[in-house]
Amino acid sequence: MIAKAVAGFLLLLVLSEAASQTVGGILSVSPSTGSTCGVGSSDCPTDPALDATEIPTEIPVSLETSTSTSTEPASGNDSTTPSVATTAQETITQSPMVTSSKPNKGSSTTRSPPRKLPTTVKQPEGQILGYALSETCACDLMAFSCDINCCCDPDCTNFQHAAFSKCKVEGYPPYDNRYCYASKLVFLNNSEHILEQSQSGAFCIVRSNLAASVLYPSHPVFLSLQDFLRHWDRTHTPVWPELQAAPISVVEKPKPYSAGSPILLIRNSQSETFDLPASRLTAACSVKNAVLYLLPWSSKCMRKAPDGQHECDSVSSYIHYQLQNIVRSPLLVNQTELPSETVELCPENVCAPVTYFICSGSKVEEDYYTNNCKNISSKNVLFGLKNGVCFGVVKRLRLLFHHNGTDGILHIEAFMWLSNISLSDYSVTKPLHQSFSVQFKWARLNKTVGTITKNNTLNSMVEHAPFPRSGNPGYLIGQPVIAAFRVKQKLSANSSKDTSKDSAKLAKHDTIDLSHDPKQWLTLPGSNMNGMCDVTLAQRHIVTFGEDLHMSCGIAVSPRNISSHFSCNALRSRLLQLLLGDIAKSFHNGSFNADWGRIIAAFGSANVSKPQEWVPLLLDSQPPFTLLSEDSMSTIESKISNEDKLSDMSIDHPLQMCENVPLGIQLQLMHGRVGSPSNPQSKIFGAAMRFTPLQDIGWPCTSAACPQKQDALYLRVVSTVKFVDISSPAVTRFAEPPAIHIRLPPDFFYPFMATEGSSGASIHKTSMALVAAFLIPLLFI
Amino acid sequence: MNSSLTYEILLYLNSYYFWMFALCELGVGIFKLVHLPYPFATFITEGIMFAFLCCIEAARIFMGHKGNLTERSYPVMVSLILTIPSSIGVLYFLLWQTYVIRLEVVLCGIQLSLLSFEIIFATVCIVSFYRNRIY
Repeated sequence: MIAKAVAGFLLLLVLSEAASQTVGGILSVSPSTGSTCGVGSSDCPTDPALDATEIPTEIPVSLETSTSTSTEPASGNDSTTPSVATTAQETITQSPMVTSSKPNKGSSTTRSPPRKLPTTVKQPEGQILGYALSETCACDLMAFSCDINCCCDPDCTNFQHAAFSKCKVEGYPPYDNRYCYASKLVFLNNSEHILEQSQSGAFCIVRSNLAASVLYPSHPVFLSLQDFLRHWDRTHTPVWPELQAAPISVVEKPKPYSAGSPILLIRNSQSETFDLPASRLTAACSVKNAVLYLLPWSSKCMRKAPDGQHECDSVSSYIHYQLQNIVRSPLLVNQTELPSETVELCPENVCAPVTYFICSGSKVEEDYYTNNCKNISSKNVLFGLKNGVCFGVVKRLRLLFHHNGTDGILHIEAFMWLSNISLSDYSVTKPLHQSFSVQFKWARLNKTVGTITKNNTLNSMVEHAPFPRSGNPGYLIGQPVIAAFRVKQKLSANSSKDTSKDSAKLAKHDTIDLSHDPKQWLTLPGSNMNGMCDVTLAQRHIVTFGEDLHMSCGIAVSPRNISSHFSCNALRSRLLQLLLGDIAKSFHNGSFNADWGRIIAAFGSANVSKPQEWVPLLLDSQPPFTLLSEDSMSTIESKISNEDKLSDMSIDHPLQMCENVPLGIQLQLMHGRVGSPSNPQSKIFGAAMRFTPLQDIGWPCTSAACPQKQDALYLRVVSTVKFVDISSPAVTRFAEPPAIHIRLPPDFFYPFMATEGSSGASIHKTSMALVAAFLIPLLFI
Repeated sequence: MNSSLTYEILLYLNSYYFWMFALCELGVGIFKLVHLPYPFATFITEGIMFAFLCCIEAARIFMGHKGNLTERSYPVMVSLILTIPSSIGVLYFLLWQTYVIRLEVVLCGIQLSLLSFEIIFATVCIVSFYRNRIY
């Protein structure tokens, strides 16, 4: 009985399958007999994914590059024969039912583009995704010849097909994520893959029987110009504007220099832009960069050493020539008649005068005004090639333009580092390093100078000298941290006598001694080329805001330096000098406590007049030693030298140990943002410094095997900087409601009280009582 | 007492399940109409198919009930015969309608399994009625 029922059910299923075939056949519009199987990749007959009727398990999308070689081109005949097409279609339409019983559904895999067999026919399921299968063969680009890997090329024979590695994909299905199994074309390492994505969710489309195709509607060809123009207007596409029939020889009116406009020079009575060599991408001087007015610029590049007339000129005399012919202002070019081509020199009224400074071998670029640079007339300097020697090769050039805004350049200061290179003996392979920098400086007008000198003293003039801020008001990252000294003001009798209010105010607080030289601010010991600590001020590293740092350098200590207590003290002093730089000098008096007067500007604007904007540089702990004054230093040194003589004689019992030697400096700074989040300003909230590590140095040796006097102990001096941002998240604060002070006019109770007088308050009370006495009965009426 | 309790339970369950199924189909139909491109003609076809399925199913369940409770084999036979168009209708929603949503796959699957069980028990019922025929 049951068996019968089961059999009947199976029969029903079979029947339904048959029905499915027929209905499927009816519903699917059989496409024209194109020779492509899988335009839409996922629709090849072997693909089970789309035909799955089971509830798909959710499997995350995975990418698998299929490495399988393409299915061999079938040995079928010409694909376009209709008989083959129909048979193929039948097999395909059956395939869903066959595959529906298979497991392995709902997974998503990537396959390489579908292998199109020349004989396979588009299957109706291609319509499932709602796109039209292309009937074209886009890869057939060479007519009457077999295109490689183009399986739909009718020119290819089966023999040629055998040489193909794959089939180029013809079009892709549009990605539609409404389907449970959508396929998407992805490119992985430039190779095409089709990603089949399985989607979770009950409302995705498992199957679509609607034979809709999405096609672009074709447009009729325009046959009349009217029709064409009417449609053109509909698109609202403007044609290119027609050229105005203007005279060709229109030259723009010269405009005065403004920030960013190229600086002009006159060459062969024609104006050119002033440009300097620069590097792009590589270190070589490959490009010429136009120098722009008022924009500071610098470049460094490397080039081959000059080995000929032309090369020599380009590095020496050409630059000199350029400098001499820089135009003061473009307005002057047309007003004055340019000199004829024969005249080399530019007239004085057009071109800016140049003052030449020849500088010699200074390492520090900042020291322009030191003795290293000499003012020299350009006539005394030889440029160009002469007797096989290239004279005046510009190795470094710093130009300082004194300008006056739109009035143009007043004069130019050129600082040059020159060298003479002999072409013969100079190795060609050795490169020539060039560096250029351009700076601009406002020229002080005589008038303003006059007013300043009238009103202010010389000191205030110094104050008004340009001071590079590290940010206004908050610090900018990478700008030096400004440090100064708090100088205790001593209220002396004579100073308090003749003072205005300002000075009295200043006397209350301590004055702030701020140096304009960043090297006098927070600096750390730098190192020279050998990695040894450099004591000179120029080599010191400036602590910059927001940049953590860990640097070290070496220092050599000879046994003599740690032979006695005095020499140990001297060593400590020397190391402190090294660690602190010039600051160490300023508190030689021995007081080395936390209140040492070193302060740091909380803001980058470093306002000296606001002492509340300065935070003290806290010393972490008082070091277990005292600094020695300079006088005592000298005495110690003399003592050391005396001791040396002594120790030379009696070297048997040296001290061999120095305690608490500061071998490093550690700076900790806490900063944070203040102000509104749209434009936060960085402020330093606190700074601490400590000498660490304090080490006992010496030779771990017995007296017998102690090192020779010549041996030096190499110590490592480590200086670190650490910035911490302690800003808390911004808090919204609303303005407090305005306090309303309701005040009656003074003569409000005129008849009852006196308008003024010292006893006003008491009268006020009595009058109020009177008013109340009148008004309260009124309420009861 | 020849009536099958299992068959009765199945029919009872199926009556509730089918109306739930019908409601869901209606909702899904509205969902598809809103979300997917739908040719009007096919929508009408599906509507008619749906109404037809509802009628058949109602009649089938009613006849099954009636035959089982009255111990008459004739209504059960009718119910068994009506299972064929009913299952074809469900299969239509499972396979051949315009868009098959995953939810429909689940619902139709359950409905089909219920139908198959009912076929078995309806056959059992008919056989037992014939055996113990009361005249």
